[in-house]
Amino acid sequence: MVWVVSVVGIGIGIVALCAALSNAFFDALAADAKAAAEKRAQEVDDGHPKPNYVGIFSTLLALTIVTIGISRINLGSANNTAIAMLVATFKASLVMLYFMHLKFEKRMLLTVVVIPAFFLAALVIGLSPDLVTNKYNADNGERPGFWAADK
Amino acid sequence: MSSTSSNAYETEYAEYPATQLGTSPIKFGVWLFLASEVMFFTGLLGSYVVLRFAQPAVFHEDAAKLNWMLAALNTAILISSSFTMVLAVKHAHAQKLEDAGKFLIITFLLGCAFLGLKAIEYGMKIEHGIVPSTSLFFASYFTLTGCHALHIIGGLIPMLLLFRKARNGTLTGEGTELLGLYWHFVDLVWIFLFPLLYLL
Repeated sequence: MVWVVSVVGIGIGIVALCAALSNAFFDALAADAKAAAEKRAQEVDDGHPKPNYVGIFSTLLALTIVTIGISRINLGSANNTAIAMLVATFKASLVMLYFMHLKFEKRMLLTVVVIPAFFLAALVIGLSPDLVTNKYNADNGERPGFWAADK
Repeated sequence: MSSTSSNAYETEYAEYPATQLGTSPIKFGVWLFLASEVMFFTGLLGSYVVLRFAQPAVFHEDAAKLNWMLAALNTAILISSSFTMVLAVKHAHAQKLEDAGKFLIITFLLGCAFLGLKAIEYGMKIEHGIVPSTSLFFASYFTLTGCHALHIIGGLIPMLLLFRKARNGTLTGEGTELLGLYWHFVDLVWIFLFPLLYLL
C-alpha cells in the first residue's frame, strides 16, 4: 500500500515538476540569446503562441505513471474504471488539442471530433444498463425468457 | 481571411478560402477518416464492454495474466513517437527537410519498437498456450491489440514514403501534418486500450 501511494505521489510530483520546469528547460535549450532570436525568426509564424511540446510530452508520460499507480489501489471496479477513463480522456484531450493542433484550428473542425466522441461514449456506456443487472450472466446459468422484462 | 496575410500557415492554405469546412478540404477529409476509424474501434470496444459485464470475474482474473510492465513501456514508446512526429511536422512546415526526415525516421523506429514488443508479448502468450480461443477475454485482447497493430503498420508505410520525399526535397508541411494526425489517432487508441486491457 505504501509503495502504491508513493508511486502515485511521485507521479503527481513529476507532473508538477515538469509543468514548473519545462518552460525553463525549453528556454535553456536555446543556449545563445542571439541564436535563439535567429531561430525564432526562421520559425513558421502560425499566428498563435507555439505550444510547449516538451512540456506536453512530459505531462503525458507522468500521467501514464499516475494511471498505473492509481490502478494498483483497489477502490472498487466501478470507481477504478471511472478514474482510469477520466485520466485517459484527459491525456487524449492533451494529444488532440496540442499535438493534433486542434486548439488552433477553426471551430468547425471541433464538431468532426466531438460528434464521434459522443457516439463512442454513448454506444459504449449505453450498453451497460442492459448488463448491470447481471441477472443472466454465465455464472448464473439462467436464460432470459421471451418477455425478459417480466422475469 | 485576407489573401495578403504574412502568416505562413495561412499562406499555405490561402487557396482554400474560409468555407463552412473551416479548414482545407484534405485536412477535413483526414479528420472524417479518423472519425470513421473511431467508430471502428467503438464497435470493438462496445463488444469488449458487453463481454466484460457478462463475465467480470473471468475478465479480471485473465487480465492479471497480462504483462502490464511491457505494455507500460509500449505506452511510453508510442507517446514518444507522437512527440517526435510533432517535431517532424514542425520542421516540415519550416521546410527544414533534413531535420524533418530525421524525426520521421525516429518515429518510424519507435513504431517498429512498439510492434516488436507486441510480437514478444504475443509470443509469450502463445508459448503458454494462450490463444484467442482460450477465453472471451483473450479473444477481445488479441482482437483489440491486433487491429491496433494493423493500424500502426498502416501508418508506418506512409511514413517511409514521406521519408523518401524528405530525401528528394519534395516533402510538404501539409503532407507531414496529415500523417501526424493519423499517427496521433493511433496513439490515442492505445492510450485508451492500455488501462482497459491491462490495468482494470
